[in-house]
Amino acid sequence: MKKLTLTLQHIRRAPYQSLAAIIMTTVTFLIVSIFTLAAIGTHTLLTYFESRPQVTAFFLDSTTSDQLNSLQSEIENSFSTDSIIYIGKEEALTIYQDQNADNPLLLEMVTADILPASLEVSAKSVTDLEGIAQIMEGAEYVEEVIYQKDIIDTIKVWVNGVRWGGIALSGLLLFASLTTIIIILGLKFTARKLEINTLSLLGASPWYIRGPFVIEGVIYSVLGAFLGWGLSYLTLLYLTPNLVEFLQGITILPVPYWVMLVVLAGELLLGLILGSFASLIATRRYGR
Amino acid sequence: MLIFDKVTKTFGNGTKALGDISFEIGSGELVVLSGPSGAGKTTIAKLLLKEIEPTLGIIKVDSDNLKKISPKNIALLRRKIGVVFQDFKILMDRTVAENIDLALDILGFDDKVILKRRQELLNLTGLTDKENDFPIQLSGGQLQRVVIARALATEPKLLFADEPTGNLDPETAKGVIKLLQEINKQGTTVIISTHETDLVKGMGARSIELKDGKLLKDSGSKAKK
Repeated sequence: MKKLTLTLQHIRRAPYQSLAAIIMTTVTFLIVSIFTLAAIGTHTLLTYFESRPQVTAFFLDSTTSDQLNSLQSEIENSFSTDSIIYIGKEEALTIYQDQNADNPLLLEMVTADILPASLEVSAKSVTDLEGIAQIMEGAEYVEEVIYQKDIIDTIKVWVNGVRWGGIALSGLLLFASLTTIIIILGLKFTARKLEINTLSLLGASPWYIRGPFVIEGVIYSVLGAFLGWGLSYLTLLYLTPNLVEFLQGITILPVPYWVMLVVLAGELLLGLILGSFASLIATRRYGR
Repeated sequence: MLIFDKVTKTFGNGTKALGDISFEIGSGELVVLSGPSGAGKTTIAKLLLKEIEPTLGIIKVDSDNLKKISPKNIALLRRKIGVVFQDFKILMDRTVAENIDLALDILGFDDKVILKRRQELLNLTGLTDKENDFPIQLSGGQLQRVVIARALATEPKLLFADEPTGNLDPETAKGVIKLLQEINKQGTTVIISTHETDLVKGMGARSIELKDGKLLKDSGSKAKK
């Protein structure tokens, strides 16, 4: 308790240095939060598309049931699939009629004969899509293969971009925060050199001397982590209605509160490690 | 209590601060370590606190060989020795009470014990009315008394006063010497390091005289057996 009181006294006595450290760590953790949420969001989006029938093969009218079974077996044996659904001509017509129920003109012109039978394959991993499509395209009785390659590829690029961009930017900012805390605590340590020397000569243990500085570093980064997380959560809540409209039925928002709590816990832990590490380096380097 | 056995200290630049010094100080003794500036008095204080290491020889405090004390146990050694520093080493942003409390807080005493001990020390040093003053509000003599109070806070067996009268007028200096004598009468071993030999004449203390790092004279132990 005495150490905490002493630490708060140190912070009050150099308010601008303390403010600089808190702002730096807040910005860092705001960016960490944004990229964490973006990574979770894009990953969920990818999972959403992965869980939908992604590859559809349309068959020639001459296709036999043996050929269908053979193709299905080959896909099942080669890749891990979530589901394989066969849609016959009559089912295709029903789907077509449901989709165009409000347009009688389109319904009049279409019969089951002109609609092809199809096979809808849902993969467990997005990386399998292309292989499944290649098997389908290789079958001579397959007329056309359609799969959401472009969407998936775009999302994959986004997932990777968010992931690596987030790691790079967060890493850079964490390093900047680390050096900021080291410099500020180093300055404070140097400014109190006489006091530290006196404490040492009076028989103070190394922890008695370094403790308040370590606590100060932890306060900067943990407070920054909390503020950064809070700002990101407020921004997310503010943007949620617009994002829901943009995503049209893809239910990744609102983000469940427990996900936000997990993000907070992770960031507080990261803050604790960052603050302790920075202050230990500062007091070790300047304590010599 | 304190043994210096053939201690030599040569600094990195070749300066020999102490050359083959030997003396033994018994428990409860009052010793005046005298000599002009550069005689080696402050070097002895630094060796005692293990701020620096001797080049040769053995130093023992309370039968502990300082050479064998590991860096992490230096703090424990320093807690046994009360030191009145030549440059005070007072924390200017803390009150008299907080400066005295510091030594006790380091040892982890609780607030009740600290308060009680602080009152005793303020009474002993005559600073009861200065408890809440900051060092900048005090005279040189009063500052020296704060340093003595702080050095005595942990009830050390050995008190080393390095030039305790160095910055004081003759009257105040006499008061400080008298205080150190009183502390010695209460059983603490006191070493007064000074270049002002006139001030300590006639106080019945053992005299160890140094010059250029060499022992010139030792009037001999007057240890209470």
